[in-house]
Amino acid sequence: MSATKLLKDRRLIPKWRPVKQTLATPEAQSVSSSTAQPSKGDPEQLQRDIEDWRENPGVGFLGAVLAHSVHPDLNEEVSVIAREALTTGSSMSPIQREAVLAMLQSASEGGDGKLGESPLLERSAPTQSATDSLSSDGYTSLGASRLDYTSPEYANLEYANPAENHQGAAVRRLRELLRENNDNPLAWLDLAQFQAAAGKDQAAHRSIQTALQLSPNNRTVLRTAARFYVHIGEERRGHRLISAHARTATDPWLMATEIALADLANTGSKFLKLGSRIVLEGNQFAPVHISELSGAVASQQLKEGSLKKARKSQLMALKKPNDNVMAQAVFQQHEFGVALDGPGLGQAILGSNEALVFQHWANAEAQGAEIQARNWHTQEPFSSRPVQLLALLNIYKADYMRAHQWLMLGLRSDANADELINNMGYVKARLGKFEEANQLLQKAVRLEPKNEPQAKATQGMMCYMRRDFAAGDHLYVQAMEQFAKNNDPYVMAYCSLFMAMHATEYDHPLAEQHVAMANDLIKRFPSPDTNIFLKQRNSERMVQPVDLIASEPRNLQQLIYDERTNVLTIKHGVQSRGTDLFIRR
Amino acid sequence: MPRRSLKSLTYAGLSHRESVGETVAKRTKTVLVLCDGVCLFGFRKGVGMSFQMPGPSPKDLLVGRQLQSGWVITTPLQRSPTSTGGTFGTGYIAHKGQERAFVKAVDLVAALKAPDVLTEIRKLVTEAEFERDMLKACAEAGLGHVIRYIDHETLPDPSGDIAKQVVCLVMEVGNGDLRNTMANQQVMRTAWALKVMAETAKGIHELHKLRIAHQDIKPSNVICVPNAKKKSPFGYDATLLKLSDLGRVTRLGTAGPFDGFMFPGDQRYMPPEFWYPNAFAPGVLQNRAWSDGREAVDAYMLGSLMIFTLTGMTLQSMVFQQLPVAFRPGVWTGRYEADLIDALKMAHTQALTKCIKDNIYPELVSDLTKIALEITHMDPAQRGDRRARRQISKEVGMDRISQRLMVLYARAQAIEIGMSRR
Repeated sequence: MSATKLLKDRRLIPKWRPVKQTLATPEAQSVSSSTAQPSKGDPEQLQRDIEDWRENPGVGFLGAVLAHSVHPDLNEEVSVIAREALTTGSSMSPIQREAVLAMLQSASEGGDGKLGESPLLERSAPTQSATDSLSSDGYTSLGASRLDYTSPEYANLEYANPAENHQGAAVRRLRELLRENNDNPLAWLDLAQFQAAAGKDQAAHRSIQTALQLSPNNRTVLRTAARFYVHIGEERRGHRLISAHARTATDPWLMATEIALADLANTGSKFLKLGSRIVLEGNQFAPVHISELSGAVASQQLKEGSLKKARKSQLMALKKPNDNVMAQAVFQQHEFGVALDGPGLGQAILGSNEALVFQHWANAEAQGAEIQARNWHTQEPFSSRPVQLLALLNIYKADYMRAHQWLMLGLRSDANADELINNMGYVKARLGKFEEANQLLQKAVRLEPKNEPQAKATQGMMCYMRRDFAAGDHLYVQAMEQFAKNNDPYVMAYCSLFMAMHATEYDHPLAEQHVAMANDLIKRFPSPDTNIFLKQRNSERMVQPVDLIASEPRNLQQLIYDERTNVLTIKHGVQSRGTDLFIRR
Repeated sequence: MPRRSLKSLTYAGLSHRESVGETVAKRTKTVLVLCDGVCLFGFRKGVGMSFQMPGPSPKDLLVGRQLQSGWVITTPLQRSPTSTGGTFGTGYIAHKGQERAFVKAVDLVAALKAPDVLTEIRKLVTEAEFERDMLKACAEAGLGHVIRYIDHETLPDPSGDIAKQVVCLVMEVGNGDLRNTMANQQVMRTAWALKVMAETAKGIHELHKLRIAHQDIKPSNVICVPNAKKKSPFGYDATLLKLSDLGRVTRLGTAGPFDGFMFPGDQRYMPPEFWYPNAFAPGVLQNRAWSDGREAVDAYMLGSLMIFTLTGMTLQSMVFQQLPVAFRPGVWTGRYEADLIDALKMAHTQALTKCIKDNIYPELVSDLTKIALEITHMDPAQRGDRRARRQISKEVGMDRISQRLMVLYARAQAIEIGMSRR
């Protein structure tokens, strides 16, 4: 069972983070195993420049000294002069002062003393979520009717909150940057992300195309373009782009993308065989560069039923995983039946917001899940997945207004996200807007027929709200039968939980029976989704949460401590079931 | 003394074009190293040389000496303002009547102390001669924005020791370099900064017309020369900016001591393609077209000079602040290709925008940023005036850059006049 049954299957398609974040990850780095030539400064020239500055302590001569700071071997000496310049009140330009302060701060923090990094265009996670500051003022001023995403005002809706303002400022800065220099493919990618988040898919498409034309061989551009095509539902196009590209045959990151997209587009992968070989050999690239490729191969092997092979590939993926691989690993943890603890992995999970969301969700920790989902949303504002989880968490808390706001935000970036429309239908129903709810549910089913049982369940709830219990029961039962027919007993149990809750809420004469049935089903088919919901509704514990008993996972590594030599060794490999993670010798 | 002019001296690995007293050498088994007919020193074939020169070098003891051309060396400069050039020399101020000049003195003492004497001497002689030739060529072409060559001669040592002779290059003297101008200013005035840029660009263009690439453009090599001809409301035109130190130049079609160097200039101002020495396949950098390989370097260094003039920081250090660690020199292991170039572009655009935005009149920010982005483009093949680059010849187009900067300079002056009237 995956981390949640409520999200669609997850695949290892590339993450589309803000460029600045992507550039800081291994996926933007070179896969070449050659070593870089260390950058050496000219100490004699530095001495001459220092002498000159001492004689003429002005901006020009100080600049000549500061210029040496780009060389790590001269940092310390330059820092000394920087400090001296600052303490003696030597003449310096504002930018020099900024650089000197950054350098001294970096040196005092134990950094390398290089000129500090500037936060330009950095998209820090807002302290408040996109909806937090939509206080009653912000929301009511918009008016409930204006919040209808189908209304014409929707397209021009402006959120008066910091996250949105933050985005607005970032877009302005990007536009300014591109006005000065449109030959900047990475800036076009960032702009496209904001455009996609605002639901302007055509504009985002144009930006992506521009980036591709400017830099058709850049890995980040190619992977982002592929991710964008998935976002707009053109998976085949994304797959074609990557599979036909000359670089893919030699680049494990692009190969991983091709394999994941082939699966998503339901077409054959051109590089699965080659990728599997690279993973099996494991020595062509550094582990960090084949992590995603190994993960994609592992997912394919799992799908083909080769669990043993899949575990081996997953082991390779988890040697040096990135955030995407870690999220996938947590999402599919039970399918692989492997433990995700031990040195390295725990740290890697902490580096992935998405993985943390799934982990908190699986442990029914709503608060942690919400915080991480917000961070995930900040990182990928165009994605409907974090928004869906955030909306669900608010539905579980019975905070339908906030759930409504999250869904609005999600639908703005993806107006045809059927799962969001379906949830919006539920929220509208809870807010008493039955007509709108029915329209939305119909649309969700039209977009994705698999939503039919969910829509029926929501319609059943509306019948309960109207005190038409017989019709409600009928619809709920129909929904549950369909879930059972679709071989989805966990969601059936989840549905029964809602049926019981609403029956109790609206004084259904058969509420007790419904509660009993829900208890029975949840005992048989417990899931993280039912648990997290039940933990949120402490006051309504007619139905008891059930501890999830997962089959004992296999460790992917073993820590062996030799007491005699006082040495701890990490042994990598898929361990037998029940093997301890830590053993003493 | 019979001699063949411009014969290649091949003895003991010396291969530069030099005048050699061959007859004397054959008869006495002594090789004389001559520079324009003047014997610099001589040594016996097969005999190792050991020169002991206690105390200061002869080139440091010229105060009060008079050159044959009438120049009297009066004031030593602590260090030659052009000393980062190819030839290690000592700088002096010389006078001839009311005229002042800069004298760069070079002797062989340091070379004679080097472990590989012949190589060092060859290097020194070749570089000194090449610099002189380049300065001469510029003077003959009447370049107005390159420091003017006046004369050169060899000053014999009073003791008659030929190893202690000093070669003197006499050049136009200025009022210090850009660093001196910036010494007491926290913020450079826009019009002045633009004047520096425009005139330096003009100097580069003049050199490019002679197919010379300077390759060491930096604040210490831009000299402020008094200009009595023009006066402007702010006195900007009372100073002319000229390029100095042609010690590191390369000339298309003329063999020079730095032809084999990918980047002979100061590494603090070097273009990004040289930050990553392993990022190119062997021969790629050496085999680039003249405009992409040499002239594009000048274009970048002009941009770097612009940033230095405006902020007191080098462009390299500003870009480093914005560049993710994985892409920094010494860390990046890949090629100088799309992944790296795009990351550099991002960091570079941010750095430039930040530097220019806060230091220039808002009316000029956009135009100046465009120029700066063009001349410091991360891809050397695209570096230079965008329109010039689009033409068939794909020139760097420093003439256009210079004109565009001149227009901005005029606009900045107009703004300052308007401000002063208000």
